[in-house]
Amino acid sequence: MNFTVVNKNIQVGHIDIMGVSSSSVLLIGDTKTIALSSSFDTPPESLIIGPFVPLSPQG
Amino acid sequence: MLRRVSNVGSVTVTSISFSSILEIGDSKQITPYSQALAVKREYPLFFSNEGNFGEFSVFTRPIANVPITETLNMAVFNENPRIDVDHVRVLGIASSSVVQIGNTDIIKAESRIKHIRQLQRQYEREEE
Repeated sequence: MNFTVVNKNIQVGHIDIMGVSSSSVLLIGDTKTIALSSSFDTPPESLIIGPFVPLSPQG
Repeated sequence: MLRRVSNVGSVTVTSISFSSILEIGDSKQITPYSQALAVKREYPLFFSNEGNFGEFSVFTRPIANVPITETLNMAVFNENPRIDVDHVRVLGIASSSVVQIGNTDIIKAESRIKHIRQLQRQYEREEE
């Protein structure tokens, strides 16, 4: 595949962002490759209702 | 490849946390990685040695990789070799995130979060 990009004038006033999180990118510039991955696990089993039990310690 | 110059008037960032990066200038490679156990408890008692990443599959599960098989001929013409921005304001950068003003070759970020909520039973709540 042949892919041609022509970058012309770009002038921006304000960029206002609340949050960049969980492997996200804000880039003012050029790059070749971006690969971002994020896993967020909160299944029904992770809602524990019952007496206080601490998590098992670091192995 | 000819790269452009980023011209930013001012930058305001309030918080950078958990393996995140604010890069002003060029770089070759940025590869942040973070793992987190996000535990919320109704009764706020936490011990410093709690939590074992190995117990949760979300931290070991392989991430799908989509290989690019097509050959790509990319030609870039920078008619204006500048990117102008007056002001950037970011409240928070968190969990393997990147904010960069400048050029780079590769950004490869990974974030894994296990979210656990622990609530009390009705009668335990009433005992307090």
